[in-house]
Amino acid sequence: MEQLKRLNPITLFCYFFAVVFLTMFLTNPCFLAVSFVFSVLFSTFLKRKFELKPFIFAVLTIIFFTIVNVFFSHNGLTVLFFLNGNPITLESVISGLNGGLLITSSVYWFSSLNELLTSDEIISLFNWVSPSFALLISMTLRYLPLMKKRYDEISDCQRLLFPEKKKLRSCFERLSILITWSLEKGVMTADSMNARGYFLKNKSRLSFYPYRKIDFFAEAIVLALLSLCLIFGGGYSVYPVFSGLEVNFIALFSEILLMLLPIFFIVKEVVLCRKFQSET
Amino acid sequence: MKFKIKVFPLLLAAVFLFSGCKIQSSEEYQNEKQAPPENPITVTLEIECQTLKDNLDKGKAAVQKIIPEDYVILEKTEFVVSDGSSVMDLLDSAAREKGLTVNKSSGYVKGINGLSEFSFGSSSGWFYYVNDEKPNLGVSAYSLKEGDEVRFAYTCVLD
Repeated sequence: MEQLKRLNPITLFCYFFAVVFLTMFLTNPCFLAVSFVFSVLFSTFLKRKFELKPFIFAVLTIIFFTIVNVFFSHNGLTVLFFLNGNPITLESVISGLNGGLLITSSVYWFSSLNELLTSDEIISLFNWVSPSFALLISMTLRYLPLMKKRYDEISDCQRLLFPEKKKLRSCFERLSILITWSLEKGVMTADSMNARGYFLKNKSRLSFYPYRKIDFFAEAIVLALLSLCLIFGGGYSVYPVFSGLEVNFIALFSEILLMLLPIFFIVKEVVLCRKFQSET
Repeated sequence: MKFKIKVFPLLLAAVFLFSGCKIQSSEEYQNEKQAPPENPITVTLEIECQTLKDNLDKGKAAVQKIIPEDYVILEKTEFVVSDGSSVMDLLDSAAREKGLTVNKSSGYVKGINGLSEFSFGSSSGWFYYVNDEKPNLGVSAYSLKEGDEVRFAYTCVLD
């Protein structure tokens, strides 16, 4: 994980862009299932533990998407059966499955990205567009986790202070405390930024993320695998006739390799660690 | 324990939801006995997409594959329906009889036999003609008379 974190933010961003782009581009459930499995695997490896609750939620989301699409879209030619006179088609099942897999795996990939990129790195990534835009992005990405953390802190405190309070009432109280606290913190942040000269013109920034050899190699591999996938992975259709589960072997293989790359980094690090431990 | 309590009403709701559903295979649906039409009238129905002769390259390859060679999905065929039934009823009974798949939503025909609206450009879709005239009514609002000739035609230019 440390090795992954030490990579240049551009490389990391490139990788996640490639992966999410592939997830959106390859419209065959095989590719999407591979993407989903590896996104779950990767986030498990990153967090060092398997979290069951988000996984169950993801699976339920996929099932929900499939069912809703089946009931509301009667497009497609391969009729499985008729439900109250409405055709239920294989194509609508596949399309719903695709949608569910796409959304859940994208969410998983982005959560991993959030884990790897610090807010400093995000700022340095988007600085070339506009510094205020970069700041905005990094603050938005940080906002919700921060709110949750604060809310947990408040509720711990409130539980200890007033254990006999009614549930709903205490919930409202916590929310109002949270909002007050966040506003206060916001004002403080603005003041602090002002004091440090954030809004001065001609302000330059220092970002120190060295571009090493391994970054170049990683980017080259990612781009090569991405282009392989894009060249060989096209031409699948869902509507009007589903083109079948057979997929191009080269595209599938390069997709799997691409998604294995970060896991390979992590495993290599763990193995090295074990080796050094056993030597000393 | 909490989880189990939540699952049970959901299951119950699902059972209630599906108990009102009738599931049929394609053959069963096609061979299902229909009530004989009251005051039967004879009308003809034709479904074609001749306009695609010139516009075939506008669509995706996957859609191009399902277009019939002579651009006719259903040749001019006579159907017996009850007096005053709508064009949608006619299309439904024709689809049931000939095994076509009709994709529709409340009085609007989205696609017939996999050929959907927007498949050949953003202004493509299905039109219907009665006796070679375009009625200013929706398919489920137009009631048929004896000897009407209904034609569904695909268009690439909405006008």
